[in-house]
Amino acid sequence: MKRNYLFIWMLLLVGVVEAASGSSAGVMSLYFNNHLFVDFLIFLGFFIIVTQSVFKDTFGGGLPIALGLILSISIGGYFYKTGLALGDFGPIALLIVSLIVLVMIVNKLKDYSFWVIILSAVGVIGLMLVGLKMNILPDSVNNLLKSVIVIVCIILVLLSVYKIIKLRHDNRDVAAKKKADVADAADAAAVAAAAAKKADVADAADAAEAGDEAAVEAGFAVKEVRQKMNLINYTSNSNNPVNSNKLKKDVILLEGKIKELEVNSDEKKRLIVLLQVILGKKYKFIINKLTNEVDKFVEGYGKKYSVVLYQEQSDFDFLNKEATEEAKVLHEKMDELKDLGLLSGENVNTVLAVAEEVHKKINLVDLYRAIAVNYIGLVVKITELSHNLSHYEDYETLKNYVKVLEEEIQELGVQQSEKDRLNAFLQNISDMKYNSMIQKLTKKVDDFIGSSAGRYGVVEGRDSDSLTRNKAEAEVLREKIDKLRNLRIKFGENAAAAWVLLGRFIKEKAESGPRSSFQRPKEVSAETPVEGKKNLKVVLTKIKKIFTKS
Amino acid sequence: MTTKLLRFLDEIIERDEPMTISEAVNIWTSLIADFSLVKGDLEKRMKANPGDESLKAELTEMEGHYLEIHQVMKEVFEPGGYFEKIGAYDKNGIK
Repeated sequence: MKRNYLFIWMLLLVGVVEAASGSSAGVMSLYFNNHLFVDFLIFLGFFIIVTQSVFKDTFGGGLPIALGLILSISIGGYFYKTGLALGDFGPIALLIVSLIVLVMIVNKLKDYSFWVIILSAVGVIGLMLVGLKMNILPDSVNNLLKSVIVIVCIILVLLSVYKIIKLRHDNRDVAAKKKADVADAADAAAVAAAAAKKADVADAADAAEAGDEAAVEAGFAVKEVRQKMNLINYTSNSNNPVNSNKLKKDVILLEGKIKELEVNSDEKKRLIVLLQVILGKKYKFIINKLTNEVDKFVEGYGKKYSVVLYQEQSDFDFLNKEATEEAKVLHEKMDELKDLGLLSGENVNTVLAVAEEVHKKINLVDLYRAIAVNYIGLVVKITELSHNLSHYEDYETLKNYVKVLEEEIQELGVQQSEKDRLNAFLQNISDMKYNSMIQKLTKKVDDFIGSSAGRYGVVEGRDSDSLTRNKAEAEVLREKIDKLRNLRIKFGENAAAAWVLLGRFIKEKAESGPRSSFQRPKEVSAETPVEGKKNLKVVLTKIKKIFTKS
Repeated sequence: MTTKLLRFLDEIIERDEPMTISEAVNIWTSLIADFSLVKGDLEKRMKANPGDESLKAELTEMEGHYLEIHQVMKEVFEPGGYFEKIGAYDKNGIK
């Protein structure tokens, strides 16, 4: 490399000296004064190079030099006799030489930027032509203009020299940095391997070491190596399968980087295998974690909620069965995952997709919690209904509330058989209400009849027609009551109609007939309201105390 | 609010063992029944004495207590609630 530049520097030196001297004699006059000697040297160099390149392999080193020397002397003698000189070939010959110089400059500086080449070529050739006093510039061009041209050429040369030096300096820095990066890459690989070993991924570490050696040899940039190190740390530190999306992205990125590497396919394969080994560890980690969660789900939550919901596990265990079924499916998926080979990108994506699906399934636990809470809430509502039936003065309100509860039951996320059970529960409570009403009505009617009949009995004989009429009415009323008792009451329109009809009938009879002694039976309260109010507060305090005790 | 219920609550407070799930459910349903009776009685009195504001205030206060009890009972069954904290369950279900 240095010898190549030596040629350019020599030309530059000649040009600069020539231009700086400002002499019209200069190099050319020196040449023409000694052209025989100079031509001889040129021929000597030329023929020795030619003969050496042609005959060196055949005759060794000495003979070609001797042959070149002979040829040089011969042609030198011919020039001496004829008075010819190489310089006589004129501007055309030197123009050819200039073009050769230009080609050389371009070839030597091809690694540099375009403008450096142009500056160098123009400057060097310009100086050379001017310095050699070629008649490129006519005599009419005065010396001042020639001097300006020379100065411009000198500036161009100096500028190109500066750029060349700067570029060489920058390249040296880049080379040093690259060297340092490779060293960093080695360090990073070592750290990565250590991290992997620490995380009990010995295989991955070995592979990492091997792979990183390959990476260093191939000039694998530190960024990629560090990325890989991050991945190894990720595999050892991350315990959240939800992050599998990030893992997938990292893998795709690294696979892309590996494919882009300018190394042979074997090295790429080695790196891919390294990556897959690391991923394999991660997948196993994810699978193990998911398996644990599934086990926890099976052993804990399913049974737990069946107990909470039904209190007596033997009565209802559908949720338990459902949970077990769900868990069975999950376990099958786990087995599928475990059986998958993990050495290809397609499988990687499959594993991650299935793992995410499994994780979603495990979130069913939360769903069961919500269902359990809803279920309890619904049971409480129905229980409340059964105890608050007396608050429903008319059937319409009751019916509407029952419909609301029916809708809530249908929306509940449990099996149909369980919904049927809750509906039956609700139906029974409604029937209780109807039966209670019928009994109450019957009692009222009986009281009315008894009272009326008694009263009519007392006055019997005084108003036999009235007595007879009332007795007949009482008989009709009793028949109606019997019919009511036999009615099949189902959420019923019948019950509502019966209630209305009977109420109206009793009211009419009470108002139109003799004054009834009927009194609504007094409902017995467990406590007086004052005690109830006081005790509710006490109960609240005690309950809070119990639930904060632990 | 029967004396029996209050006594039962006292027993739970006094003893070392925490309240069980079935006890809580029994207390809850019992409270519902008792409250409905007391409330019904109070409402009848209000009907008979429409201008009596004290009865209305009494009912409001009672309903406030009742709803608070309801809320407490609901929370103990919810995730992270009392029963989960005391470990009322094991892998076989209720302890």
